[in-house]
Amino acid sequence: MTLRQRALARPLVTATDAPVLLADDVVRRAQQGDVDAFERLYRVHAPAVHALARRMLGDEGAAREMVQDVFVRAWERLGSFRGESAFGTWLHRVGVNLILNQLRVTKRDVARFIDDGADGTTPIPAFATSSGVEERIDLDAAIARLPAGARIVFVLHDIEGYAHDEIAQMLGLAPGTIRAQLWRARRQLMRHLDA
Amino acid sequence: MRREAIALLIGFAAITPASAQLPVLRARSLDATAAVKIFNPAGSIRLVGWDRDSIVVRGRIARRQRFFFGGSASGVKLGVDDAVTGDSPPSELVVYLPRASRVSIKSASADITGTDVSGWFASVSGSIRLAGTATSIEAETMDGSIDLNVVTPWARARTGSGSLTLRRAAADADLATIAGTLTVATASVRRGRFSSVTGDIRMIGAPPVDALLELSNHDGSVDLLLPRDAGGVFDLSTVSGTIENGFGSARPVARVDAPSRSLRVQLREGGAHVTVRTFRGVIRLRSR
Amino acid sequence: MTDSPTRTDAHLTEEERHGLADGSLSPDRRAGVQSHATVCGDCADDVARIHALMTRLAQHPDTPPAELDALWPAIRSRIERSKVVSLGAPNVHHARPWAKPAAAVAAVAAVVILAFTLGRESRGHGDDVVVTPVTGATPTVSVADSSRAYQEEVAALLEDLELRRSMMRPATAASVDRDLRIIDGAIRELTDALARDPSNPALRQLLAASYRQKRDLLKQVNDAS
Repeated sequence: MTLRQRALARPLVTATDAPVLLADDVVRRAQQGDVDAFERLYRVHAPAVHALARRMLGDEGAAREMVQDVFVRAWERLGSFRGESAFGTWLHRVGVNLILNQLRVTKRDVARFIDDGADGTTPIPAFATSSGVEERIDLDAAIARLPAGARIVFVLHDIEGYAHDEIAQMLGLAPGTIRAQLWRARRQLMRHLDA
Repeated sequence: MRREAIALLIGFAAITPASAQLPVLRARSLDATAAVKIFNPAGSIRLVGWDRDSIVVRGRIARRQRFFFGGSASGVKLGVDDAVTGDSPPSELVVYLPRASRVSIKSASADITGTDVSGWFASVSGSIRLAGTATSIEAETMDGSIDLNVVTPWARARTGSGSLTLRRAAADADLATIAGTLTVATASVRRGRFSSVTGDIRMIGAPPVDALLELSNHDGSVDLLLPRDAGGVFDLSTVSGTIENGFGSARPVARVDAPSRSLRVQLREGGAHVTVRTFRGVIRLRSR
Repeated sequence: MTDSPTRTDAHLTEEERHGLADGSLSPDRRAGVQSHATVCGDCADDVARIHALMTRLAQHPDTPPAELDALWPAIRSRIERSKVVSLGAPNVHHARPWAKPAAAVAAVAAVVILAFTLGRESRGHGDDVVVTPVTGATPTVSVADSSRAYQEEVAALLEDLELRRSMMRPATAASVDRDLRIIDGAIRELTDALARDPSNPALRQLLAASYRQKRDLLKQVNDAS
């Protein structure tokens, strides 16, 4: 089961012992302008949005800013949610689009010159440690070291559970290109984890 | 063409004083995704992406300039050395290279044109014109203009005083000028950021569904020229400029305590989300 | 690629290896590919390594939720500033068409207009939706915080510029100085305006855009050197 599937299977609960609220009711109230209802949605879904942002952006600070941007954008576009999918699914898509927007407009230089010799990997991010790491940090750190393009595809497919065609449409690339990026990401990840 | 190295030395590396320009011709095998680094301070650089596993360079080099060409199948550096003193005289280079190769070009005043090439293109005062298809484009010039008539998933471009035009499909675009005019004449951008400080920005055509576009300008105007059946949400705000709405009769609402104005226009259901902010520049939402 | 039941003459392609490991291979190809893996140790080992990665991902424990409560006040503040409520239609859906007087229907039938202020008081217009007063909203992201990162980066780039200035062509230096003057003028105006109107999010975003322009220009100059 992918993380996405696990996140969607998570029940909606309040922070208190109050009875579980129906997700539909909370969303409906948020759509009517009830910010407190929207806050309940935030408490439930923020961790998943944060995890997605951190994996795709590779930086904790950027991920926390993105969480804010995603929920503000979700509030602005609540009117377009019609219940055809789970709210978490819809929110997830809002987040992916916003993250891709940011990644594209702040894209760092690719290896421009032969002398740079970079293999496209990025330095280990601040939240990773170098010795005695837990399984979670090992894998997260390895993912963060992937080149941006491969990381995006890998996170969307192998962690978030999007299909090749869906990712191809999101990124404006051919499905074949997406598959190639995914294989490349897996190979690099295996090298990092074996190192 | 065979993959082992092919050296055609017909040109001369040294220039004889009696010639204003001397021809050069170089070729070698090159991997499809090789890195190609090119430098020509003045004159012109023309790039042609092709389907062969080789690179061919021909051109005419100015007197007293030195032409260099070296590398391996996985990467090549070539170009004309900069003049030791004063401005470099012009040299013309034409480079044929594999379409999938990654190009890095640097120039002071040379104009750069390319077809079916991808990579980074930089000139201080020369213009950059690219066409065909590319995997990604990054183009920068301070005083020259940039014209992108190219289909690419991603484009980033910067000019200072020169104009910047995007004509064909780009899924993601990050375009900015300081004083030059910025024109987005394509309805393909799904994630875009377009900005200027004093230049005018024009966006022509309806953005695609689910597009996220941000336009910002300090002093210059922002014109959105949309077809009547365009869809999307347009958030327009200006601190001390004006907003002209050509769709419907709604007028911007001004703040009581400040001169800033804002207007949100939703055209049809769903669609793109376009945010426009200016400090003083006028914002015009017009139908074509 | 042929679908022979057993292939011993050629190793599996990258597509087949990954497809077999993650289960995405189509059923009609799986049998042939699986057969090859049973007789080819190299391919089988590689598929197993990829499959081990898949397993590790699937067992990857959920990352404990970060302390995200601290983000909510800023989110709420931004929402409150942009909140839109329509008069006379308390359950309005943002996507619903707005009903108009008959005389204006033909002109705006395909258009829903929502007007909102950035300020604190509402104004009425005949055909506009009006915003209710925004109360209790105080900005939680200061101008200084949002611009600080850019300022630090720009300061470092300006130092590099000064080091390179003596090696730059005069025309290039003149272009850089001209463009920097334009951008710095904009930054000054925006900073002054923000000092007078600190709750204006558009000003903050315009200021960030100007800093971005300055950073990009300085990087461009450094790359060109």
